[in-house]
Amino acid sequence: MTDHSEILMNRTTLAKPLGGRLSRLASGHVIAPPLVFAVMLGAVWLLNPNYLSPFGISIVAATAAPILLLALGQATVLNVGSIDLSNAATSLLGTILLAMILPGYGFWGILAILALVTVIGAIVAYAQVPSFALTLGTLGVLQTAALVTSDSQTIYLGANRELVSTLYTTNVGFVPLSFWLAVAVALVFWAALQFTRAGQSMTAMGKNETAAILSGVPVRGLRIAAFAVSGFLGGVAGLAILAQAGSASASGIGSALLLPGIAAALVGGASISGGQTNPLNVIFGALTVAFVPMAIQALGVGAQSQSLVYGLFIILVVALTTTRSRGIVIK
Amino acid sequence: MCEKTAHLPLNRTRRALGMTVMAAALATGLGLGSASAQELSPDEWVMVVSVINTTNPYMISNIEGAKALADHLGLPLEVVNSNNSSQEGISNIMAILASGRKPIMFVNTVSSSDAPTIVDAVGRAGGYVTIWWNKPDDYKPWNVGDHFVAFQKHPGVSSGRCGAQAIAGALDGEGEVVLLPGVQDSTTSQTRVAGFRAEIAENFPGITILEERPSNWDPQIAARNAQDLIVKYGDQIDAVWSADDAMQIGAMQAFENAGLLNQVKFASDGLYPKTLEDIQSGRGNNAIVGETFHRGYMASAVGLYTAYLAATGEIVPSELPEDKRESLFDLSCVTPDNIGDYLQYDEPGAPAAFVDRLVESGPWDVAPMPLVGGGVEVLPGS
Amino acid sequence: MSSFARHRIPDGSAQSARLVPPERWRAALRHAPLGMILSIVVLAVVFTWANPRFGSVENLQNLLYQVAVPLIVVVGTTMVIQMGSIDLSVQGVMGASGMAWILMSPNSRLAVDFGPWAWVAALALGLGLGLLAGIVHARLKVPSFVVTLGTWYIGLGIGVLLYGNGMLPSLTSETLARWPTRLTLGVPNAFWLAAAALGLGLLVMNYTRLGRGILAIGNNETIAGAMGLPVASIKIMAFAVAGLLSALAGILATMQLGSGSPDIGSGQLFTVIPAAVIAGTALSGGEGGVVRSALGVFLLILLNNGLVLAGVDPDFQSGIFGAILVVAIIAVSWPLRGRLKVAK
Repeated sequence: MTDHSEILMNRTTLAKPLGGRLSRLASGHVIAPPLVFAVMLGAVWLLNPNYLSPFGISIVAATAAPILLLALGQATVLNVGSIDLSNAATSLLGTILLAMILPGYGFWGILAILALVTVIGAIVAYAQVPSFALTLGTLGVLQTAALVTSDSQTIYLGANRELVSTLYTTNVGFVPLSFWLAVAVALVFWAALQFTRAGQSMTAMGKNETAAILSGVPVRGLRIAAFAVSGFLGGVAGLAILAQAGSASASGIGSALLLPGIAAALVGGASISGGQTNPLNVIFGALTVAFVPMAIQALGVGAQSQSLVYGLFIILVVALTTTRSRGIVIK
Repeated sequence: MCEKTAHLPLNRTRRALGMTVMAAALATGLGLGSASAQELSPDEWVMVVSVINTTNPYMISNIEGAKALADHLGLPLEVVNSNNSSQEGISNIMAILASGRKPIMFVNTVSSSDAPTIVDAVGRAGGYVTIWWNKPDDYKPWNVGDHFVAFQKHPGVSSGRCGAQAIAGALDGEGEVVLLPGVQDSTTSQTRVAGFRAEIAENFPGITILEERPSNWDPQIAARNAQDLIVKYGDQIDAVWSADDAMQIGAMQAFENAGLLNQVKFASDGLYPKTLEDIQSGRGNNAIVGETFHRGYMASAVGLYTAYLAATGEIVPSELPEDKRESLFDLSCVTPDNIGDYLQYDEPGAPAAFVDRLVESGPWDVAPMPLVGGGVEVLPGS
Repeated sequence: MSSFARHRIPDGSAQSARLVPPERWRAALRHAPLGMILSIVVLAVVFTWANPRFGSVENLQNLLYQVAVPLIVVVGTTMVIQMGSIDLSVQGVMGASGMAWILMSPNSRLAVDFGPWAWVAALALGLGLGLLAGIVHARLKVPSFVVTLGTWYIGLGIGVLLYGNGMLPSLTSETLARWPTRLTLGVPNAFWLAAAALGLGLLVMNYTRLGRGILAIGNNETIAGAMGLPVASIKIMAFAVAGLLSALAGILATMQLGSGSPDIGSGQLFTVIPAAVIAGTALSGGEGGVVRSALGVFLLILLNNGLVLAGVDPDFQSGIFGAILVVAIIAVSWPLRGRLKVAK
């Protein structure tokens, strides 16, 4: 398959035979996220095995599900070299809209909202402007939209609640359906990135955008697609949040997922400058981020020291999982 | 039990057994105040107090009350700090639940929408929870289950009315006021504001409300908003009502910076330690004219004790009347004149003394906050 | 952050020195923050029309007073952004330093007065947190986004721990509490402090090796390193200075509020970063400047103040801010579009 995007990819991938490929797989940044998670799990298990009981596992997974979905969207955008600061706000707006129309429109409501958030995501990418600034602006706009549409009230799901809550209440192997849904999405992404032209082109864009443009990769369209995906996943994350919470509010659960989502993507090995994303590792990134409060609890740290320990943890975890190949500039 | 005794030969043992059973039944039937129906083991159960942050004096008081009760009952206590974020609060609560012990919980929710998630998780962990202050109106404990023991609060409408009466009194019925509500998506804030506005509309037509600036229960945001209002209205402002003392503290600072503190009157809710000090010292030409009295330690102790009683089986939530599951507790209006009556509740050892009274008389009949009503507060004029 | 152009294609940007004199003038003009100044003037006119109180001396003094804290923060943040990194830790450092300062100054909790040592301790704390961020970023190669997210929480945690369970620590010294509002030459002292910080920032960026190094790293780190610049040391120093400035802002904010709180920095991050961005301090590094960022801060505070005075619903404020940011960034970047432009 002599794809032009392949040429743009890391030359070592092409040059080395299968043995080289395997050694690359085993390199630090691919192994690190699952390893870090496993170490944390192990440490906590030693302190208090109860945390790994079925109840504990289901809690971690339920918390991790929306984070994972947002992180996957973010990882897609990071992969093309941009960033989406508004995906959590999109998700919050989605949660509120969903809570408002679900009682009336049921399943079609879900589809309508998902379509809407995808479009929002796409619009963001349309102007060829730096994404950090742009999505910072759309963040403010969406936050206001959330406040205004909810009229600053909590919207409690009455009718048709089962349509979404099954995501949370059905368990497969102690773990709620919402988490398995997110894992399925991760698998689809991983396959898309590895095996489809669009996926490989996105990665190429992230590694070296100028060269990608020169090779005729449809950069603009792919960027729009990446943001649309981020928007869509924001909507699905909103579904997961609503499933767990049963109510939506502009200041309630789901309003503070931006930083955990980004942290999860980074812990999962996504490079902040682009071109390096492994959706499977993002799963472990999200699990790790969701698990940190539990680890802090297991350590017996007092309520007042929580922020301090959380900060130290985040730095430590990313320091352990970040890619450090030669020549890459870390910003 | 009857079946067992049927197999035993009729003898003294059996009679003794029967007498014991009857005695126990009588004891529980006599209601609260007697020995617990079931001792809770500290290995199996844990008391949890969840607060919005650990820097607000009301929240610090919540924690104190929980500690006093936990000490009295001999159970371990975990404190959850939500750091002003629903996400963090729920995360941290879940972390405790995952530790394997059954929770007896008091939650001061960050946002109404947190309640269903927390209650659901507590239910799955086999625990009992009382929610204070904020929950969705339609979310009723009796529809959810015994694990959602009760929802408790002090009426917001009377708080607003207290403040309005105090201000109107100080201004002799004529003047202009600005309002500082709290977090907008908070029934606590909404009911207090509604109470204030209703009192003014019904009884004090000479008072004009210039503007409302929500300040999120935060002294800094209140200070900034107050500053902007001062620039906008200047000395037109005769009084400031805040939904909570935290915001009043920030607002007073802004007025002091502008040199206007002596000309403006303040009223709010909560009688925080700093506010108490200011009233006693007469700060700003006796600027603070009205407050309401309730204490965090009382709220958390009552809430936790209610959940505790459900956990021991001494009360059965499904058998309680609705006003004991969606409860309004008495709130006192405080002015500089009657403030002396309330000083006793801030003396060292007051939480422990309160807990003693609480265990003796039960959660619904303990001074200074007996049960006064129930159900969702009806906003006046709605 | 994400917008690091690792390889800059010469696109006729005026930063290149190979320009003929007439183009130099045009370049200078393009770089002067005319758009900013124009926007500020327009907004001022509109708001004064909406509420004449806006243009009063009292309000202008109020504006200068409100601008002071974010202005101090933005100087440090601009330096970090010009390097191509980002500093998310401002709120946490402000909280930690503010708490440290007030607990060592005459307050309602402890009757102490360490005088200038309170300042030293608080500033040292901020400097220390900045150093931590810089070292972890430069030596351990952790992305600045994550490190400063971490130091944000660490700073916040320190603030919360210092607060403990005690009562609200409020300033008991009248002199200290009144200092920021007192006027010197008609301008609040708070603003003089901010102006001093701005001056310091200008000095560093334009006349020291640190400043030039920051710009070089922001422009192209690989080449800067190849040219022999001590990249790691420069990065560490930049973060340290940013931490120091955040600490100063925390002290001022605590004085302004009159009491200590770990959350004293709340809202600063989402004021300061948009201000720098609107001002044209590109997040890819190497452009913009502290003066531009200062104007950006002024613009945003003015906007906020004007909206309040004009009676705009507070719900809509973040929406209006966001909309303006979107429009501004599109307006700023639109003329620079080109087929080969890499806009991340």
